[in-house]
Amino acid sequence: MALNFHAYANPARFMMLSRRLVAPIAMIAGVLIALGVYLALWGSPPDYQQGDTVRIMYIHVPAAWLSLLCYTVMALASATALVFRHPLADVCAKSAAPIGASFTFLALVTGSLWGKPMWGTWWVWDARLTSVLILFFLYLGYLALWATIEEPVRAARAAAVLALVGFVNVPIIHYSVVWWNTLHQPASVFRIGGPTIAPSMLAPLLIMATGFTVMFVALLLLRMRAEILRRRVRSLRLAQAGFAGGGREA
Amino acid sequence: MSTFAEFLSMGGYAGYVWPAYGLVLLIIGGLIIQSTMDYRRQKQLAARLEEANEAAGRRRAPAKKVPS
Amino acid sequence: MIRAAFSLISRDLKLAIRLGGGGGMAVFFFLVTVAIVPLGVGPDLNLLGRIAPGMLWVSLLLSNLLTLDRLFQSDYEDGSLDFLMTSGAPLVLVAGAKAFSHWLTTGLPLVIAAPLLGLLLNLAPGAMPMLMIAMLIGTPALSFLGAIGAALTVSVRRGGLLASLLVMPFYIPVLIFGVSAASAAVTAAPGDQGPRGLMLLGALTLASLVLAPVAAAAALRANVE
Repeated sequence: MALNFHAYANPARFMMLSRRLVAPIAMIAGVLIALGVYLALWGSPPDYQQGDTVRIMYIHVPAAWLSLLCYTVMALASATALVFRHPLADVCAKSAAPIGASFTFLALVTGSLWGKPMWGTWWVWDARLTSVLILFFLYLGYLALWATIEEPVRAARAAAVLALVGFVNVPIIHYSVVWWNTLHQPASVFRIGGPTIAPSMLAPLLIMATGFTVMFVALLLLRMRAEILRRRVRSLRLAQAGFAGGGREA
Repeated sequence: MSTFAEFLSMGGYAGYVWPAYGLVLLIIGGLIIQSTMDYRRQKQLAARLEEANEAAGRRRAPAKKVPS
Repeated sequence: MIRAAFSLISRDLKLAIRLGGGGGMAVFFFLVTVAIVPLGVGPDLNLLGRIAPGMLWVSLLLSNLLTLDRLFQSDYEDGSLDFLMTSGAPLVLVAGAKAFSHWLTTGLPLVIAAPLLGLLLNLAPGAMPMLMIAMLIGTPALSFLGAIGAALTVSVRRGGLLASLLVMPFYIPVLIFGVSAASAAVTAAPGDQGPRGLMLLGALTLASLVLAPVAAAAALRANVE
């Protein structure tokens, strides 16, 4: 089992398998998102309370969902990288981070664009918003750590430790923020959600969420391929520098 | 049936709905373009370096194939 | 093994006393940031009294962050970290001992300075003991969580800023529970939240005492090996 696992984790093997996967997956994502956008903008009625602002929800909720999914993928990959010393795992974690950060940013901004007409303000220190903001900080810290440590092996392991510590902390932070929120203000903000979503609204939401997720997979594969190539370029350059320097390479 | 202008006005919320969709398009589009361009660049670089490496290997001692 | 940890802690304490700097600087920074608050929000004593617990906690947090870079970095630069890592003592223990001495030289002085600074901000006298207790319980968590950030950035030149950015999100629960304990005493809000905040703060500290050295040790290994 473990042997098999490692066979699939081989970068060369991954490159071979993923080569044919990226384009079809991206295509599926494109079709789903196009359908989702059509349903979200044309094919669904405005909400009786929120009016047409409900259409922002069809991108806001999938973005928020992906911000969590990306972090989970990142943390699982980091754990795999630390425990099994997997050649692909830290490539996966590193590649997932910018995607996750982008979706977290989108979740924040679209939420703000929805909040202005609905709550009358761009930002409220609501528990969920605050948690997502902190999640965004965690992403930025992770990316900053990768960018700062130059040596890739070191950077990968340090970043993996950070991702895991962050993963353990996310629920604690979320809980503390919820607790803080209930201390300071009554939960009076109007929110959607709950089981009473009309099917006409559920369809675009689900299709968009699926489309975003499939697109995440395509982007992740593409970025992982780029990252593997980048490492190959790096080691080739080092080897050539070694040749040029009379084989001083350690 | 609603007219196109009505659709664009988004029930008076055009100033919020369209920027939201525009921003998603911008950021995700940017991410896709950046990822694709980076991938192409690395692919080119890798191909060029590997070629150079093989040429060097033919000239010199048998070059050790660099594990990826 | 325990003796190794003790000797490490006493070495760090001696170094801190001989070289000065770190802890004293943190207290000075604490003083300066607290003194700046009234200049920013105005000298209204009622307002200051109301925001005092939060302001004191935020300043304490910042002062703590400021000293993180010297937690492992000086040992990394002069090579004693390599020595510690090859000495056979478990690295988790080393990391824990370093974090503990950081608390002794930074966290504890800050807590001791806090009541004095509370006077500057017109903190209600009744809230002072609660604030002190909360800070006493919470600051070890700051040192131990901070050790993770310090360990992650140990090989980065001028890693202090990055360490602060990495650690700040992890400090948020400490801040929230710490402030709630003290401000419950200030506002005397209905529903006694103080002890519950303290208990949650204690739980955080205990968890970080156990888990943070493990993470810090892993981070050190990633950076040094």
